[in-house]
Amino acid sequence: MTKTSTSKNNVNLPTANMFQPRTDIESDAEIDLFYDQIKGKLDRLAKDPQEETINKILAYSRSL
Amino acid sequence: MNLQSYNDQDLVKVYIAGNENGLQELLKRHKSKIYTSIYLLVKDQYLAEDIFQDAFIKVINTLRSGRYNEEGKFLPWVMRIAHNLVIDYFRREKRTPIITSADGMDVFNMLHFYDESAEDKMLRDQTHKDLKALIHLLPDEQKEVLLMRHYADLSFKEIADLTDVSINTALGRMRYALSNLRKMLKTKEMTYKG
Repeated sequence: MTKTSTSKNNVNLPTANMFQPRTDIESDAEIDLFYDQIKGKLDRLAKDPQEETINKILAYSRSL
Repeated sequence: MNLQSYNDQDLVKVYIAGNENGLQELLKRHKSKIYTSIYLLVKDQYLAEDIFQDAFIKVINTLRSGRYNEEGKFLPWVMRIAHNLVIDYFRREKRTPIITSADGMDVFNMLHFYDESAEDKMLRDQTHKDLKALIHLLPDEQKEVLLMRHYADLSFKEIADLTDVSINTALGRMRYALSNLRKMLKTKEMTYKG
């Protein structure tokens, strides 16, 4: 009896990259670099809720 | 008891067991991530405070009633609750999202209000304020992914689950959000310098 097999190595399975949106102008590296450049600026936009809001939440919890 | 070294799941257990400090530590740990994501979506401090509070009241009620699924992670779960409350708000207000082309170019055309002369120093000083304004100009679905990824630190899998899209769609939206921000910043700089 002859054994047959199929190599899995050359099968055209979809990869994550195949479904990435493509733009003709910008490369992934450019976008990544830009993100690195603005990360600090984005971080500085972070805000905390007022202490009063936190206290109301904690008071609600204690009231149960 | 030093709760700072506890992970979120342990803090949830501590809280469910009756120790209020568990909730306090969870709030301290995640308040900024959750609040910033809400605030940058609704653009109103008071509304963001209300939604943040409502989200945690739902969290408390769920934890106290024993309905919390311990398999899920705490932060993505709270973000889902907050996200749903934001959607509810927009539905109530009947505010429709900005319609854009696939790459968000319509947003790109909304920059007319930057047509003012300015010095280079002003450009630097304004960057902080401008970046916030530009984030607000992004299409809702792109803004959402950017905020969840950057501020809430969610994985693309978690974002995809939360917004009912595929991981690749979430990845694509993040990419478009960054690409559009980059284009808008470039345009703004040209306007200032021009």
